[in-house]
Order: sequence, then structure tokens, then C-alpha cells
Amino acid sequence: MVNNPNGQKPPAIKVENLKKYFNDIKAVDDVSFEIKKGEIFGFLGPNGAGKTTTINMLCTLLKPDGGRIIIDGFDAMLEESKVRSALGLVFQESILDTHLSVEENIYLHALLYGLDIKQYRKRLREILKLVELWERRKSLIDNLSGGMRRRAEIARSLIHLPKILFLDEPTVGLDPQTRKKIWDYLFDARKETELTIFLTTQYINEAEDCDRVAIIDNGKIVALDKPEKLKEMMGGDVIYFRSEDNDLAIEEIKKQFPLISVYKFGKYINLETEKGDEFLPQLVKTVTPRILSMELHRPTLEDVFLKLTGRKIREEKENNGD
Amino acid sequence: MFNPIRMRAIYAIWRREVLLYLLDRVRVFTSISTPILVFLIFGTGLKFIIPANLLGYDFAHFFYPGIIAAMVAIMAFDSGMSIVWDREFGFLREILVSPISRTDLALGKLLGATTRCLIQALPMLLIAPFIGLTLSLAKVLVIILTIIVLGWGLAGLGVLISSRMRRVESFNIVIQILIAPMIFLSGAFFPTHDANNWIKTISNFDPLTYGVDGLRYIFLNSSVNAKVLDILTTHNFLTSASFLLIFAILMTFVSILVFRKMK
Ligand SMILES: Nc1ncnc2c1ncn2[C@@H]1O[C@H](COP(=O)(O)OP(=O)(O)O)[C@@H](O)[C@H]1O
Ligand SMILES: [Mg+2]
Repeated sequence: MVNNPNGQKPPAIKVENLKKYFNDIKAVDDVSFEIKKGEIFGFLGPNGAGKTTTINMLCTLLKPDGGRIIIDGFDAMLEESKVRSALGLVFQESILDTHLSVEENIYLHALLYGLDIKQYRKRLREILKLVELWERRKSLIDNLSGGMRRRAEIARSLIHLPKILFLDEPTVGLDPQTRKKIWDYLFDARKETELTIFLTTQYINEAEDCDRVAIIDNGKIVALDKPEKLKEMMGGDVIYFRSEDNDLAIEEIKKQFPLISVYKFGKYINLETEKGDEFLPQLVKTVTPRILSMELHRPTLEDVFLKLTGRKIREEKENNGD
Repeated sequence: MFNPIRMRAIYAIWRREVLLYLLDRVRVFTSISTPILVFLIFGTGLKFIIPANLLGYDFAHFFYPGIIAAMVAIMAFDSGMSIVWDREFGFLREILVSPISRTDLALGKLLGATTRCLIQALPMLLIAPFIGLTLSLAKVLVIILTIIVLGWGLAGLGVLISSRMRRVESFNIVIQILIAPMIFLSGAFFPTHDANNWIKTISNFDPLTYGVDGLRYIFLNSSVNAKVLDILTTHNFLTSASFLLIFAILMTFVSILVFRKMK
């Protein structure tokens, strides 16, 4: 056990100056954060940001090139097996045995974690009811839909009552309803025990459901706070528009409203302002080039990400926009 | 050792190995029936072409233990190397992040491989009475033990080889490149006692040679006379058994080391 100087409840996860380099790629570049017990903590970032690499180090699969990881009070590099028993994992790619049934997959997992048959039977029922797979427990994984497989995987990772659950993009490729359901299960699972959840995602709305979010880009955490706090970084509402001459439009806006934050993003202009609804008419009057499209919304984490990195989280969205 | 949590973890690895084999019905059927078929065709067919009085022994007697040793070798190798698939389909990660120790992982894997060998080889024993070989209970037990030790060691060798392999595509090629010479040099199908010296020398380094000799000795020692037995085997039973045992122990440590290093 690593002593806690303040004598408080130790955090579920404490990461200090974590680094991982692959040749000249800084996959994780000096990352530090702390996760409280019972917290749902999200890692929001685009493909290649370093989310999976971070998870792999936290779950002892990958040796860091620097830094320290304390999980449930144990040093992840020195007390691997103690750390491992405390963790549940759902990887980015499904790793179920597809030729085996849901039940068999979970049974093998329970054995690996040393559960006895009584504990296993009791937990199996509870956990499969939770993810609504109890009726399908005899089905082969091969015969399940993508959403069901994900749920089976979550059930499997929860069977041994882990203290910390890691989920690497758990809902990627699933339809919105299934995504919502999986979130409901996670919230239920957390209610049941003091489960800490660490998840990575590229979905904004998922990140917004977390207690706290770290925005990660190019291996660095660029912001970390409660989603509401992060959104407060934006000055009120966000206006997103496109005109025939963006440079001229920006120049005109800057001259007329020197206090407003305005910047170019690709073919669009981004603008942050309080009371966006009242500002829109003034904006239309100020900009002389013809306006092609215009959108006003409450700030989302996407806007925060855009502001901090100058890019969108998921590029395909940008392409669809045209 | 008999800590229930460890036993459960080893049981999990073993259970999965055996289940994945048994659930593949086609594979179980072909892996059991093919050697029987090969034996019926070659073992009894050649018997008529090369009569016993010309050869000095019954070809079926020579061929039968050989094919059992060969099928054990193929199955053991295949099972040991299956970690290549486990890595490809992610199951390896499920094990590597679990609290199971790498030693127990290796033990479970080798136990599973050995069990597969037994499931495949035991039906072959039913043939023995039909070719005039009598099997006592004691004999069957020694045969089972030999199969276990041989399969265990070769599965360990499979684990070692697969640890050097990153690409699944090379799986079948590697198996064939290694298995075929290993079987031919072992004397399973062709007697090596008349072969030239360098073949004999290499065959001394082939672990399967000792498996073939060991099995041949147990199957035949009460059914053929000592002179014939001497022609059919290169090493005596004690040498074969000791070699197999030492090889199995060595490969156990090697597999544990391989799993310890695995990321
Ligand atoms: N084993 C590896 N070898 C080399 N580069 C890697 C390896 N794993 C990840 N990377 C690189 O590290 C960066 C971060 O990857 P990853 O953690 O998988 O990102 P994410 O999960 O956020 O999409 C990427 O640039 C990726 O190409
Ligand atoms: Mg990833």
C-alpha cells in the first residue's frame, strides 16, 4: 500500500507524469490526473490521441516510459497482481470467445479471477439481468448482435466485482438506443457498488454524462474538469457560420465587436458570445458578404475541443458537413 | 500449489483449451478418424505388399505406434502454438490482465494441450487387439503416461515457437515446415536403423524419436521377440522415457519463461 499523507480516503486512480513513446511518437506525453472513488471519469479525444495507450498502462498491459500509476492504493508497476484483481476491463475490440456461449465466457472469466461456484452463480444472475441478457445466456457469442456482445462483455468485466472498471470506447459502432442502454447499465452498476468508471470516448454526449472529463489530444491533457465547467470556458453561446468571404466577415466583426471571440475553422467562422439569440440579428447586419449558412447553439464539449485544439474530434463529421 | 484460487485459474485455462477443441465437431471427428484411416490403408495395405517374412516383422506393428506418436506430436504442436490465435483474437489480453500468474497460465495451457492429445489418441488403442497386440491395464497406463509426457513437452516447444511468431498467416507454414521433418526423422513411418549416419545423428536431437521408440517398446515388447524389437527401435525404453521426462520438464520452464515475458 502506498501511504496517503493526508490520511484521507485514497483516490481510486492517481497518475503522475505518465509517459509512453513509440519511437518518435509521443503517444502519452506527461499526463497527470486523479480519479476519486465512485467517479465516472471520461477521456475524450480523437483517434490516435493516446486513450488506448493510457488504458493499457493503467491496466498493467504496457510498461510506461516514465511516471507513476497508483491504482486502489497499489503501485501498478510494483504490485501488478493486486492491481489486476481490482480491475474490470472492456477493450476497444471485442475479445469474447465467439464459439462459446455468453455463460461460458463469463464462467471462464470468473474462474480466472478466483470466484467460487456459489459466488459465480449468484453474480451471474444479477449481472445478466442488469444487462438484459439472462434469457440469452446459452446463446453463442457468434449469434449475438454487436450491442449484445458489448453488453455481454460489460457483464463479464463486472462478474468479479471490480473496484475500477475501464472501458475503451465501449459504445463505438453501436446505435444511439443501445448506447443509451449501456450507459443506463453503467449507472446502475455504479449505484450498486462504489464502482469507479474510467472510460474513453469520441462521443461528445457520452463525455457530457461523465462526472469529470479530461480532453486529450496528441498525448496531452489539454483540459480537465466537470463538463459544465469546461463548457463555461466558452463565452456563452456558439455561433457557427459560413459566408462568401470569411476573411472580410471576420475583419468586419472584429471592428464592430472588439470584445467577441471569433476565429476561423476550415470553411466556417466560429464565434462565442453571450445571449447568442439577441446577437444574431446584429451579426447579420454587420457582415456584408453573403451568408451561406448559420447555426446557433449552447456550447458543447465539441466546441471546447475545437477551441483548444483547432480541430474537430471526429473528422468524418466535418466531411458530412459539405 | 493447491490454493483454490490458483486451481480455479488453471482450470479455466485448461477448460477453455479442451472446450474449444471439443466444440469443433468436425475437427474432433477428422483428428480422430484420419490417423485410423491412414493406418488402415498404409499399415494393413503395405502388409500385403511387403510380407512379414521378407521384412522380418509385421509392418503394421511397426507403423501403429509410429502413427500414434505422430498424431500426438501434431496435436501437441498445434495446441501449444494456438497462443498465436489467442493473441490475434484478443483472448491473450483477457488472460494477461487477469490476476492469474504466468506460471499457472503455462501449466493450464500445457495441461489443455495434453488432454487434447489424449482425447485424440485413446480411440486408436481400440485397434491394437485387431493387429495382434495385447494390452494389459498396466500397459495402457504406461501408454497414457508416455503420451502425456510426450504431448506436454512438444506443446511446450509449440509455445516457444509461437512466441517468436507475430503473424497468424505463418502459422500453417511453420507447423508444416517443422512437423514434417520431425516426423520423418523420428522413424515413425520409415525405419531409421538403416539410414545413414547423419540422419541418425539428427534424429537423436528429435524429441519425437524418443516418443516413437518409447511407444513402440511398450506396445510391442510382449508381442514380438527381442531381436525384432531391437531392429524397430533406436533407443531402449529407459533412455526414451528419461529423455521425454527431461524434455518435458525443460519445456515447462521454457513455457513459463515465454509467458512471463509476454506482453
Ligand atoms: N504499439 C504501438 N506501436 C507504435 N505506435 C503506437 C502503438 N500503439 C499506439 N501507437 C501510436 O500512439 C498514438 C496513440 O494511439 P492510441 O493510444 O491507440 O490512441 P487512441 O486510443 O486515442 O485512438 C497513435 O499515434 C498510435 O499510432
Ligand atoms: Mg483507442
